[in-house]
Amino acid sequence: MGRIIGFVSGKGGVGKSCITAGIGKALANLNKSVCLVDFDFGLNNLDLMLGIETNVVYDLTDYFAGRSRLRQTLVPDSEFDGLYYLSTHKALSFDSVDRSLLKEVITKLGEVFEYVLIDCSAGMGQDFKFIVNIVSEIIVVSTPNICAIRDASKVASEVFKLKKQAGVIVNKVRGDLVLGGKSFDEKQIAKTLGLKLIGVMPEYEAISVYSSIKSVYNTSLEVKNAFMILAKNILKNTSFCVDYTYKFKGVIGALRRKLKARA
Amino acid sequence: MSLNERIENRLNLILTMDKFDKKDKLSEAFKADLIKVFSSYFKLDGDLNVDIKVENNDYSINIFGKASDIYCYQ
Repeated sequence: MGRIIGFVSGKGGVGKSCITAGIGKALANLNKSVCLVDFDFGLNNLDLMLGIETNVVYDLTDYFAGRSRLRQTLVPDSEFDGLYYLSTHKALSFDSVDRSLLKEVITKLGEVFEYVLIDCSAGMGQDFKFIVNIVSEIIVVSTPNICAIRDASKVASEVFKLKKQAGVIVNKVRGDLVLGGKSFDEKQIAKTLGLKLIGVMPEYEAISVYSSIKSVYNTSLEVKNAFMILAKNILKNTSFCVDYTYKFKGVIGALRRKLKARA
Repeated sequence: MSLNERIENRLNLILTMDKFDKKDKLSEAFKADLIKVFSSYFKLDGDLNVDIKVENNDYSINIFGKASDIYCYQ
């Protein structure tokens, strides 16, 4: 049985979909078979993050209605052979979907793929409760912002009750702010949440700019490298973090920090 | 093509695709409601055909049906 991992956050806009898509691509790049499931019914964006929005023909509602087989419904990635995407773009909300059928589909995917990554919606509604009960592992995505940490903490409390393997990925960390003592670093956040640190994803301008025209994974080499480190951490159960502070160390680094603060 | 133009093109494509999805969802619900409304005025002969096309940013709607009788209110 493959690893079925749910990506949750509590707070919206922390970058769950970006992280899920990037890690999915990185795992496929490491020759793993991966299926990404977009659980944000009605407001799905995982297909955009993967850069395959024009390839989606069928979605989960077509499969449930018998209009397509599961194999037809899975959208192959344009870049990596082992990566597939299951869309839910026609379903308006989680309430409109049959939960027993949904559980059956996810279990089936777990039997076929080595990794099933589920991008959950924000919040702790019925879809969150459903997902955390059926996945084998949970990854909480947070940013250094205190609202995100607070919401992640509430999510972590729910996760602890279920006694599932859980960890945190800290997204959008800024080296200049961490070195300047103006932002929490990933170790502080993981300690606050009481979760195992899986890794960090620094704030890269390339993602903000180039994710509008291509998949998040291909926005820059730095971004690709950061996602590869996260994927390897998930594979090998390690916690290596990309060094996002090196640019801001030393004399030139201090100058960069000052210039960035003025911008 | 500049970066801005590429972003704009991709966004327009995505928004048009979303319109097609909304159109698919709307057609069936709309057709079911129309049959109910028309059936109270006409005896429908066959199926009602509802065709919604997405053209640029507009929806054009064509409804075609046949009736074998009209119900008169006395």
